[in-house]
Amino acid sequence: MTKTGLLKKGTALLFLTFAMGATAFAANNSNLTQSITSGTLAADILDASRVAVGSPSAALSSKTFSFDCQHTGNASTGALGSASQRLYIMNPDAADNGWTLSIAATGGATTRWANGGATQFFDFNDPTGTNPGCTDGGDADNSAGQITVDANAGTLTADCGSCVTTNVTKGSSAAFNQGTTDSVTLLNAAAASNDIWRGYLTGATLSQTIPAEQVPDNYTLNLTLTSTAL
Amino acid sequence: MRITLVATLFAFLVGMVPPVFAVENSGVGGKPANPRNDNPRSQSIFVYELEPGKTVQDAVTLINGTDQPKTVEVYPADGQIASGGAFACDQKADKRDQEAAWITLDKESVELPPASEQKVDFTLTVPKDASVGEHNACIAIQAVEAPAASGVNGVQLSFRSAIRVAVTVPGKLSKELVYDSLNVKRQDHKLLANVAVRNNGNVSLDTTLDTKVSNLLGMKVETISGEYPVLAHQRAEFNFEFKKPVWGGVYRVVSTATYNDDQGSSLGEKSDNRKTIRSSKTVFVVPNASALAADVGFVVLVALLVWRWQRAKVLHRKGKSYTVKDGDNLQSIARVLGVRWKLIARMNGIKAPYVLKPGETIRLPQKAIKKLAAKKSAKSTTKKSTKE
Repeated sequence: MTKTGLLKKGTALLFLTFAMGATAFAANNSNLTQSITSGTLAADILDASRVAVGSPSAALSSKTFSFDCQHTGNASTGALGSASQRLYIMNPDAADNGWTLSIAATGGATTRWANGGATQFFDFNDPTGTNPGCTDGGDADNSAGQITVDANAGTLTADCGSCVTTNVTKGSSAAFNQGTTDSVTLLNAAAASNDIWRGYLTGATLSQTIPAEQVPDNYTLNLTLTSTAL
Repeated sequence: MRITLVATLFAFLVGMVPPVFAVENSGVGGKPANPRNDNPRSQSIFVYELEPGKTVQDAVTLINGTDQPKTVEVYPADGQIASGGAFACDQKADKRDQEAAWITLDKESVELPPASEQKVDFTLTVPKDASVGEHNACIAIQAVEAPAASGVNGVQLSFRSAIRVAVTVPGKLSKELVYDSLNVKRQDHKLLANVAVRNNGNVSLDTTLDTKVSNLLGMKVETISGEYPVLAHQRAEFNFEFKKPVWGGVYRVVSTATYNDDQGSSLGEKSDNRKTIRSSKTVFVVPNASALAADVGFVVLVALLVWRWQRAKVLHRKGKSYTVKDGDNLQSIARVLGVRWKLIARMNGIKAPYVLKPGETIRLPQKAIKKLAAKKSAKSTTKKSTKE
């Protein structure tokens, strides 16, 4: 064998050694072990393929300026959870004694709907008025307006092999009310609900009272959905 | 030589590249890092029994179950009551001036690679003036996301996970649950039972709620059961959906609530001292269209049968006696009288094969006999006048 041939074979052997060194040789009586740990209770907006939706949102119907308060059947409405933006909740054996999913204003009870320049506002949790939400109440701001959330109007669907919606109840219709109802319950899972569970809510309704003479603009409100292990 | 090199490189790559496991996206959140074997509730939430002035050290495991690296914030938050009496947590923007102030976390945020977890230590100190009973706070966990663009019309959503922290200050603990209301309403093809209970005690009660729909005979139609925490001094409300009974009618909705009545046992501990309270409501359910048609048809049929039986009785009572002659049968007698033979059979309780015996006395409809007599009389009068 020539020097070159020896060198090549030696190099090949060296590489093989490295490759084999990264490989474990099983002993005659070894056991393979695998640990599967529970994950975390979590909620998110996913599409129908269970891919996370960027910048999840819930659009409310556009309203025309009015000198009158727009409320009840004339309020601005929308849905939390839709066919393309499903409100998913996942419990991978994390909350074994039940959990809740609730929604609240990210900025706290004193926050308001605001336009892009933060120069125009209206409220989401003021119950004042013959028609609730049409009058500014005794809170510190000078804005009227109130959101009502109705999870019971939505549809809850289980989305995993053996899980069912039994023992997961939808929250009743409730309006935000500063200091009294700062969080609205969307779902309440009993202790007997599946410990391993994945499902989604669609069609929970949002209804926002628009105060009289509200300045026309685009308004945003940030809401946080919290999944809480009980 | 070329083959040797390729084979060598292949062996190298196979040996050195680690196996890749698929990551299931289960979000960002956390769980108690040190659950206790003596209390299964501590697997999911933090549960403590602490005297005023005492401190406990513990940890929370932050989990990034996504396939992206995440900056994860962790912070204590005061507990609050959401609509329907469910437990919820204050927002990060809210003041921490109640039980959240008892908790001090070692870190406020961590960087978590994909599919990883990390422990964050914390201490919890109960103030010396804390009242006896249960106190609730939260440890909230949230991934930092890019802020949403302003001026975008509508509601912008963000998500977080939270773990309840339940601290019981020992002393005179009281446990009392009462029913606040039970309402049942019909909604589309469902019966919606709204059950409300009130916890008048100073500790939360893990309450088993059984709500049952049964018919007037007491036969169970459907039952929904579940165990829910009802927080101290709070009213909790639950909605249970039942399928609307097809047949309609009067139904009874009964709700029972059972809880651990042992004043000495704390959250998560089992006890044989269980107390049950109950409430009930009666509701009328309209049957669905086909069931209603069947119901109406049944009622009409029964009414018809009863009417026919009654009519036969009356006719029999008011009828005239007749002695059966040779050659008589039900059909021939009925033909003469101008009535249906089955009426005569029913009047006299004659069953199949509907045979009459000569000499037997039966009752015939009086009206039919009078009509027949009038006919005969009219015939003979006509014959007389014809002869004359």
